[in-house]
Amino acid sequence: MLSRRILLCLLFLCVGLTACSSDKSEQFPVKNTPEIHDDGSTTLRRGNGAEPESLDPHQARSVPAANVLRDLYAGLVQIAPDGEIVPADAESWEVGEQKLVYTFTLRDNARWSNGEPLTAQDYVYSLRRSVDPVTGSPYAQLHTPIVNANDIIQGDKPPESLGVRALDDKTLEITLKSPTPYFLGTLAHSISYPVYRPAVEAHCAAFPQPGNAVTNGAYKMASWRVNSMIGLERNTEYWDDANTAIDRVEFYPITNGNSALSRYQAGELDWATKVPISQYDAIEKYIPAQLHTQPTLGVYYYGLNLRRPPFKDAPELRHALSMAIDRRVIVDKITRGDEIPAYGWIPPVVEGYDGAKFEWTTLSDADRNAKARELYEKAGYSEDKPLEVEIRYNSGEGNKKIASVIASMWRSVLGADVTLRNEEWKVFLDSVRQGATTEAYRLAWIGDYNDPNTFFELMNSKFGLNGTGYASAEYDRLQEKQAHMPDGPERNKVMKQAEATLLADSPVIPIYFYVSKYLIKDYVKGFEGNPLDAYYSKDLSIEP
Amino acid sequence: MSSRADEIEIASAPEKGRSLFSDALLRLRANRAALASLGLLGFIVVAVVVGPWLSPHDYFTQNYGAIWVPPTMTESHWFGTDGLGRDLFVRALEGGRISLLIGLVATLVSLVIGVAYGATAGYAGGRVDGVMMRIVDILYAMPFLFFVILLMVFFGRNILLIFVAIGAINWLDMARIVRGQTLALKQQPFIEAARMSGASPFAIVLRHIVPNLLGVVAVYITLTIPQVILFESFLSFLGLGVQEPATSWGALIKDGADEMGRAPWLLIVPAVFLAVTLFCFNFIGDGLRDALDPKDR
Amino acid sequence: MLSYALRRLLGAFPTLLILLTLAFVMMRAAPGGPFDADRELPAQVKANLEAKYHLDEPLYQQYGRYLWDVAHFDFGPSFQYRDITVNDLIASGFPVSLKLGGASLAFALLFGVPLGMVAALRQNRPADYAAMTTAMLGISIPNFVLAPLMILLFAVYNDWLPAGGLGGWQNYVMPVLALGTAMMAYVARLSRASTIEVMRSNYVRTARAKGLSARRVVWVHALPAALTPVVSFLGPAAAGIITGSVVIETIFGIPGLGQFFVQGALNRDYTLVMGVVLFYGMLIVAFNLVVDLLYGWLDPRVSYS
Repeated sequence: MLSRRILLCLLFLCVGLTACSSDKSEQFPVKNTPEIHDDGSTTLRRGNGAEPESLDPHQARSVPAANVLRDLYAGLVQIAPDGEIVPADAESWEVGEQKLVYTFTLRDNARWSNGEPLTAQDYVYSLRRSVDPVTGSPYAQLHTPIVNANDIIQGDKPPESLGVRALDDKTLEITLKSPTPYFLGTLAHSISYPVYRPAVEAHCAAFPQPGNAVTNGAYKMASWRVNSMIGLERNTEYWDDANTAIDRVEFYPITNGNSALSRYQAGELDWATKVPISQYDAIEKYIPAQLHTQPTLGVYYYGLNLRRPPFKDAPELRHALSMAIDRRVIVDKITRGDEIPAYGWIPPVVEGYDGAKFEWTTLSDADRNAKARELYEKAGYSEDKPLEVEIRYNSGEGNKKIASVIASMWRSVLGADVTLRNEEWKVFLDSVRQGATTEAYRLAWIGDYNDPNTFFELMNSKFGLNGTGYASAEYDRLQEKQAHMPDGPERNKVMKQAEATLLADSPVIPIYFYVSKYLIKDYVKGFEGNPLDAYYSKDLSIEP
Repeated sequence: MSSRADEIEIASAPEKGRSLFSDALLRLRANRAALASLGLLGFIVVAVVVGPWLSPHDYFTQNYGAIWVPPTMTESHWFGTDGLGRDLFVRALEGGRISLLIGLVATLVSLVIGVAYGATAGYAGGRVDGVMMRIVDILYAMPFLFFVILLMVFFGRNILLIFVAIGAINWLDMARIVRGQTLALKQQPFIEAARMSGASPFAIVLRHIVPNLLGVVAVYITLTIPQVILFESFLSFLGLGVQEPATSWGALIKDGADEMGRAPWLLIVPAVFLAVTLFCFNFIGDGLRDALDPKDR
Repeated sequence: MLSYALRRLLGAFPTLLILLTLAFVMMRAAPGGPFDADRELPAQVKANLEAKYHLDEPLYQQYGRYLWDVAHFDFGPSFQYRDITVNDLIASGFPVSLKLGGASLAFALLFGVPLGMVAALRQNRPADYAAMTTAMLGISIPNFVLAPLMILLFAVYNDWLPAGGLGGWQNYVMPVLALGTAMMAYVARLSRASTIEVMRSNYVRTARAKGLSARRVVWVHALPAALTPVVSFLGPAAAGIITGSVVIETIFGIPGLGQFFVQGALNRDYTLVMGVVLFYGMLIVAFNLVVDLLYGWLDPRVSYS
């Protein structure tokens, strides 16, 4: 009997996974087995993408690391479930009249996981460490609004000169170079978390390891096995421990979407971060309530290398290529996860800013394609003399599909002769940086805080990796101007100007804005999406 | 001494009037499984060459209105379509061209290098063998990912290079196995006899050792071909495999595995092609082995 | 025999040294470095990181430093996992890989050899075709297909085994099957071929002619000789399987060594790559030595003088 059932299942698996019965729950089985221990304590099991490269808040780089660090550490401020910035270690703060001096008052009961009180001096030490070039922080630049931070990062001034000081044990003063509307947002980022000085000094690089780590968040390190699991347990010293519901959190590194889904279905995960595109339809059909989608701060784009032909001095061509891409098709048919077609540079989910758009956004498909062909011909290309262009992308299923689609669109709408070239990530980065052979390439950008500046900054000619070689004095000026203006209609006007300049110059072709997709079991309560994709396990509970 | 003389008779004096190959061909013809496989393989080869013309579709045109269409007679998507609405029938056959080519050429490269290297090391023995085998050890442990990345950086991308890369990585197993067999063979009386009768080492290896190795080698070839075909899909991950929109069975299977929950035909079709081809190679390999076996002659 | 083994062990040092040197050169010649990312580091930060890991020194000096450390069994800190040393990574990954690989190997041998021999003794009969069809299926279904199918069947649609992760022995069942099946198929194919070969050889014919029972002929004469190509294949294959498989490990969430080979290379984690390459090299050398010694024992025709 049993063996017949196995055979049947196998057969069905081969024929189409239509499964062994017509029952809905058996077609797409999902086991609801929360981990509740005998003493009533609960464990939350989260899928977490790649293995975190580091759990040193100042060394961490990736989203998976940030997810773990958010549970381990508390900053001066934190992100509430709805995305608002709310007090954390700092009970309150005052902002000086010129918006230059921030004075934070730390909570009396803010403590480290070993019971030691958390002081303003801890923050001074940690902020200095975060910008000290010796630390090698990938996110040090987030602190450039603070006095002298940039010079310290460049190695021109000592870390002690940072504009941060402790007025007393519980009062911290941070002085900025110039008013920065998004400054508080950067304080919720892991680069602004405090680290425990004695642990860092005693264990050097190994201080984040279980046994060495001393943290100030809702949880503390319990175990860490690379490529297997990171286990956290409740930090009873945490100032808000009374409101923490879940006792243990386990982070599982799972990079493969299908594996994540299987483990979720098998009842081994309460929360899966990877949802395979090909299973999206089934998920929406069978377990729609468990699927959570949230537009986030991220843009998927194609860069055009302006230093070489064919894109050098060819704005018409760049516009033609941009217009020839039907973004609706890409989000509806390829990414399939309710991504938002990008007709501008700044994700619409960004707070308090209504972005500029390409002027052709409202055209019908036929008109848009006709306009694209017109520009293409204006740029000097035609059927007899087609554009030869190469799309370079880094290996990855989604990238490959999108590159294929874009190549096909350029071919069919414009008649361009498109070749595809995929490269391994580091080789790809090297090619993009050097810009000696690249033409069109794909990249993406994820914002660090909820403010348009995190996207504007990227296109500044002096900022980081500039694969397009875009260097517009006008754009740089506008970007730097808006970064130091107080929030309000004035700043919005400048930002809109900056975005319009960028879209007119078109060194990049924005394709779509990211949407995060999560599968979360019904018994996990308290989840609320926010555009920063910042979630704290302490805000959740398990209630079967 | 008499037994040695017998061996010489057996090893180097085939029946009169038949060459080694016509003899082998005759025996192969008697093996029905091998013959059927040969026919089927021939059919697959013809199909991948002319098949794409039978379909009204081509392998690169995308149709966003027909994504993940299951196999159907209407619209002549006989094997269904993929996530971009491309026809799988044509893609599977197009992929077959590349995979068969890669499988055969890379296997041939690894065969030639592996047999020559292994037989030489095994026959020479002693210090030469020691050094040659230590080189194999080193190559085994080399981080081949870097090898592939470097190949790509220095020589650009080119399909020939894929063959070389794969063949260059795959000959190691062949060399080890051949050497192991040679070590055993060279103690055999008939080799000793050949040596004493004044044959040069080269002639001995070529005429006496290699023919005796064919059994194991033929089998190993049937193990190498699938390895090579699947390995190609991994190379495309590094940017060295076939580039979209071109494809191969390895790449189709890999993509199909990701989408098998939604569109199982994307996995089943190329997997069946691959499996059938491998079965054919397998039975042909066995048939060849039997046909070429000098002991049976 | 003993002096042969000793000589081989001494020979391992130059072998490993050449391996390390070649790996070092290849790695450094590849484009991209460990600190490259789409979010570029500020110049000074990057310079400091490079100084911290001695990447700013001339290559020969870095090479010398590395050899010196390795001679003291110190593989250095990982560039990718900044909080962890390569020694710790290998030490945590190897036991898991050893368990998984060892079980897969045992599975492959226990089922592969009998399957191959049965097929050989019933050559071109239904039992042979059935056995070889099974073997070819094992070879032509790649493990990245087999593994998810098994997960769906055993963990998702039924509740028989865990879908992934590390726990009890149950967590090893599917990975061992997925990893061992292809290898079992290889072993079956190879042992079938060599058994056929051996059964036709003169000494087996002689043994048979002497009137020994068929069973005795198979067990005492044929089996050992039939195993030689299998053993020859097993040397590197065992070293490979014991150092893990990236595909199986990522699909099942098993923290073995296999992922480090690929992750290390893709991340340009120089120290991690060197560490696992050297470790793998040592295993290869050791296994191949064992294999060569086994030859002499299995096949009376081979001698090491």
